[in-house]
Amino acid sequence: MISENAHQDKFKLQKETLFLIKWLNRAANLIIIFYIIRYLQQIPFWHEIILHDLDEYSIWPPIIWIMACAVCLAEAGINSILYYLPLQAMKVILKIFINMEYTSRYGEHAFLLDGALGARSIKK
Amino acid sequence: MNNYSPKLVGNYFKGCGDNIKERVISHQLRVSHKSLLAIAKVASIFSWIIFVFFILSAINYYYQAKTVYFMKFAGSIPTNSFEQILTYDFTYAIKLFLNMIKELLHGGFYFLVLKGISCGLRMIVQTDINYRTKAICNERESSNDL
Repeated sequence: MISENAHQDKFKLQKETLFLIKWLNRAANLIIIFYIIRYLQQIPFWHEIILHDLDEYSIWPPIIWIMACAVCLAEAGINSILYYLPLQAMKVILKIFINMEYTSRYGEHAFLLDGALGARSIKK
Repeated sequence: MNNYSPKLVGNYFKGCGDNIKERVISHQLRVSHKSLLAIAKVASIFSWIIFVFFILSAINYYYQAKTVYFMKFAGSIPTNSFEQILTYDFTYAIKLFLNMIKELLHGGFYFLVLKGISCGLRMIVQTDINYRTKAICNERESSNDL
């Protein structure tokens, strides 16, 4: 019933979506690593600022370094979450859509019927 | 996107009979489907535009930094080669590199989100088409049984 062309077109969309899912995951992880590096590099800058602000109080120097690290990690955390969550959400949504599409074609046993692009690729 | 042209959708139902084919096509390529596919197409095209824009933005950042550096330290630096300055001022080079990567990552982020939207919408249309096809074919089978 389904012509070969149309069948290939369907698989093209599936493959594109799976490729996208893979890259959404990679990009999400990459963004976290990037922001950690970026803000670690700013620790000396924050150390200077905190040192300048708390100059009048005699604070033990390692405490200032710890405060600078905390500020940088908080910044990195907030920035990475802002990008990480939408990417992960998009990944999960696409996974659900691809499952829905499989189920709509083959019924409840979609995973068993389609080995080429099925369960293994989706579960990754 | 072109996969869903009426001609191709017609191919899905080869052997279903003209009447069923017409019914399915009229059902499936309704306004809502067309508008969803149009949005998917716009998102797909726009994702590439944004990706290229952010790549250019990253390149522009480099030249902008170069200009600013020379304006800021005009006369006080012995060389005119920005690349040479970057080898001396390693911290500045890392900062510049990280900012350029940031631009590229932002471009990648918007690209992936827009591509995801495009793929998701196409998936929804595809799923709907599959369910409708199944329903109509089941209907046909049951009427043949009778």
